[in-house]
Amino acid sequence: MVPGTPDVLARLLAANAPTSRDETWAAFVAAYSRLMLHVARSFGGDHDAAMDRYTQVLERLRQEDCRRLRAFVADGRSEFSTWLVVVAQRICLDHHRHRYGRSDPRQDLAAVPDDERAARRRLVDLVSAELDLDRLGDEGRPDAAETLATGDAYHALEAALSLLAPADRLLVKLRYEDDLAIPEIARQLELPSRFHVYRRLTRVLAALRRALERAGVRDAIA
Amino acid sequence: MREIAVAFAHPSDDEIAAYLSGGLTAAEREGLEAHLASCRACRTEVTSARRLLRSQPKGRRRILAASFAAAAVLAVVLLAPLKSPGPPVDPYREGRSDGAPALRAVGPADGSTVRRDSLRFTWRSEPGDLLFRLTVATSTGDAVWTRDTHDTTLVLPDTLRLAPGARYLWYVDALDPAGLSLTTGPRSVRIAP
Repeated sequence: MVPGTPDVLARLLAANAPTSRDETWAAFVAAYSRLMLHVARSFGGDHDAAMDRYTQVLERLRQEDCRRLRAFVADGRSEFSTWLVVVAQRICLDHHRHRYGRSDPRQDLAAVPDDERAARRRLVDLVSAELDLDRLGDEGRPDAAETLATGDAYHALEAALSLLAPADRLLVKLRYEDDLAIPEIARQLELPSRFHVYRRLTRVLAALRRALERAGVRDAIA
Repeated sequence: MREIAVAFAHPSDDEIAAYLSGGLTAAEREGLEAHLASCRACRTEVTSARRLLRSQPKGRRRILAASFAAAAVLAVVLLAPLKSPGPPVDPYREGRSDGAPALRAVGPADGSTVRRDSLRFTWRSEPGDLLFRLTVATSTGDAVWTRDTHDTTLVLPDTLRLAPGARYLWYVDALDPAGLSLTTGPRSVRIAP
């Protein structure tokens, strides 16, 4: 048995005769049905819709002599139950897309645009609000200069965001684009507490301000 | 070592599961987070999976309460001097009127010495469909690693460092359907030098 492979999975994958396959499959389902139902229900809809997704998960896992389950690698990097949640979720999402198109029922589609350029613009707008760049217009400049300054700040901020370290860029996305709560961001980034998130956000925003100053957007930063 | 997906490639099932379990190396994690920072779909997937794992079916919160109780028992066992005479009292047989343990540690054997790369924790329970919490602690009882699982075997992630030659304690907690706390009790294992 491969270290880290649950017994019930190992027996299923080792079964040869049709009878033992059925028995080991039943044992596998009994062990993990609650988890798979939990995933299927998370996509919303009524009981029938959830059971439809749950059935789809079972069918896809059993297909081609449990090909998908055989792809689990017991290398100690994750538990099988965690891997199963990921796989079941993907199967449910594929099922939903197959039936209803490419939308993800768990996303608020009105909140974030699909187009990448528009999404980038929205993120810059949100972060600029956090940096209080709206005050650019308060300095009494002529409209043309104000427009130019605003545009410069926008492009400088966009450039600065793209230069952040991956973890910091992810932090900004989770906070301003996905609008996750601070405690959830802490869990996602494996930070010890929400205070670590606040501290890191403060550091990132300070770095963005410095980048804007270097780009000559000095008047906006007070 | 396996290469993690580059920033522009969507991560595999294994990679996301490893990320959620804290099983990626620093470099792998950085690569995956670079992708997540640029891919809203994958980001949503990871966030959703993490929420699902946290909100797993009932019994989880009670498991956490049971683990605190087990930790308190562990502290008593470690700190209280052994007393005799009288028949030995096993504090870990609670909840079973027939005295048979409902949760039993299988391996590594208590007091054994094991190589780090072959260290694997296994236990048995009756009933089997429970949520377990494995805790690995130093010899003074400080937890160095915990993991909740429905499985009955766990392998530590390669990224977790254990000192060669040192002794560690491990135990598994669970809550049976009747609401009684179960635990294997602490077992010790020494990491081979």
